[in-house]
Formats: sequence, C-alpha cells, structure tokens
Amino acid sequence: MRVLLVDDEVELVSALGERLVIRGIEAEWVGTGEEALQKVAREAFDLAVLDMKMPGIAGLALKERLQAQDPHLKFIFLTGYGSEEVFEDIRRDYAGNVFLIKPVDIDELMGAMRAVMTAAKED
Amino acid sequence: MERDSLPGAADLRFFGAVGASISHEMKNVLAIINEMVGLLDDLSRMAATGRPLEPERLQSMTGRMQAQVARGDGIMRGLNRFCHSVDRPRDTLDLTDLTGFVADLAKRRAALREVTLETPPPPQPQRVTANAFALEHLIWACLERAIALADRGATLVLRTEAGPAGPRVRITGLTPAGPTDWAAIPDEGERRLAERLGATLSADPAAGELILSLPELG
Repeated sequence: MRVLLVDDEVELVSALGERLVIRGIEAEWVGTGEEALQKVAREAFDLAVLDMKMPGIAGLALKERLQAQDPHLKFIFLTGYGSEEVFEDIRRDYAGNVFLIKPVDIDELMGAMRAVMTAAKED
Repeated sequence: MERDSLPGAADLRFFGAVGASISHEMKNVLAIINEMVGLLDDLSRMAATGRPLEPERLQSMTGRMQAQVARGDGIMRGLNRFCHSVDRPRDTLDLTDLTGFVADLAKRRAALREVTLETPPPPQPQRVTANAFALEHLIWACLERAIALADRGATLVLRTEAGPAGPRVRITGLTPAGPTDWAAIPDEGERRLAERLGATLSADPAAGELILSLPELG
C-alpha cells in the first residue's frame, strides 16, 4: 500500500511516516496541499492522509483536487479539534469520509487504512 | 473597562477565539510528541530483536522532542500572559511588546490565510496607559480586519510609532484581492472597542493600511 501523508506540521508527518514504514507501509509525506498535488501528479498512491486545516489548500477542497488527478485515490482526514461539539460538526460536514482526531493512535490509523482499502476493493 | 465589570459578548468571543487557537496549536505539539514517543518505542522494540539502533538517530529524536517541549512551553507562557492580562485594568504598557504579543497569538490564523505577520522594532519605545485586555482585544480586531482584507501570500507589517496625537499602530501591506468598502472601516464593533480606550481606527486605501491611534500617555 502506498500512502501519502499531508500535514503542515512536518515533524508530525515525518514521525508518523517513519512509523508506517516500520510497519511495512510505503509512506511518503509532504507539508502542503500544493506539494501533495505535485506529488500525486507524478506518482501513484493508494491512499492520502490529509490534515483538515492547513495554510493554502486543505481538507475537502484538497481531496477534490487530488481526486480529479487520481480518481482511484482514497482518503483519511486528520483533525486537531478536540471538543465533542466540534467533532459533531466535522462528522456532519465530512459525512462519508473517514477522519481521526490527533494525537492519532498508530493502530487505529493502520486499522482505518486497511478498512478504507478493503472497502475500495469491494466497490 | 472597569476591572470587575462584566465582560461583553465581544470580549468573551475574543477570549474564546484566542483560547481555541492556542489549544489547537497545543494539540499539534502533543500530537508530534506522541508520534516521536511512538517512534522511539518502535525503534526500541526493534533493537530488542537485535536490529541495531544508531546513537545519532536517538540523539536527533530527543533533540526534536526537546524542541517541541520548548514550543509547547512558549505556547503555554503566551496563554498564561493572555489570561493574566485581565488583571491589568490600568497599566503602563509597552505598545510594541503588546502588539508583538497579539501578532504572535494571531500568527496561526494569519498562516491559514497564507498571510505573514511582521513586527519590526520601532525607532523608540512607545508606551500607553490602558487596560491590557481591552487593548489586546482592539489590536486583535484590527489584525482580524487586516488579515481578512489581505490577499493570499501578503505580508502585513505592524509598526508602532509616535503619531501626531499619541502612539499608534500602523498595519501596512493590505492589498485586497477584491473590491473593498474602505469607508466601512471601522464597523460598529471596532468603533466600540476603540472608543472605550479613547482610540480611533482609520483606513488609508491609497497606502493600503489601517491606523490605530491611541491617546497620549495619561
């Protein structure tokens, strides 16, 4: 599985990426939505893990642009929001998408990645 | 604003906005430390199975974690200072320092709009006597307005200087992407925030700047 991690907190995605690599995932990471668009234009990925709020293009807008470049690409969103109220807002706004709250548990992320890819194969 | 008077809704919204922004940034710091600790755990487990663990890698990781702890400490110091500003109902304040502090609080909001904030040191210190929280709120409101007006990629420069009637803060670098109703500045909310400090907010469309003029040291 090839995964692209996108987050403006580069220290976060680099550590997360290294942990995925240790678990046998082919992971790469970038710090902006623009870099993600360039990367996906050049290389094929199975899954993109996107921060919902970043400077420049982010969240659902970034998903749409990436999907236009590669219709087969699947997505998981990461958010730093913490309150239950905001969590419910996100669940509503991002209905149909998988999202996880930071700090993310690596096993939870791995499970979500597997679930998204399994669902994609069944489609 | 009297020390013990009930804060208005706008003050509470400001307090909430700053608190939410700081907590978001703190969450990022904790998320990074969480991943670093997780990575250390992964590497130590691998070392236990015989895979060598380079000391340089460990040193690099501890350095990265220390940097995040220092970042988190800075964020929490800012929060503490902000919370204690309500304890300073009338104080002589260093306007440059306070403007820089508010700019720091607004940095992430600006970054999300791809706007950079700069606070160059003034030729001479500018001091004002004011309610610290009320002045922070007023400068924040000016910055919010400036960030909303600025085009993506813009750099806003906040200068504190001596004006004709007292110290002032000039926010330059406003290059709106679309049509802008400069005559609507200040709006009612901004005017009220300024009035309670005896200040005025004005806009100069030709220069692309907002000017916050404060009363002389009283």
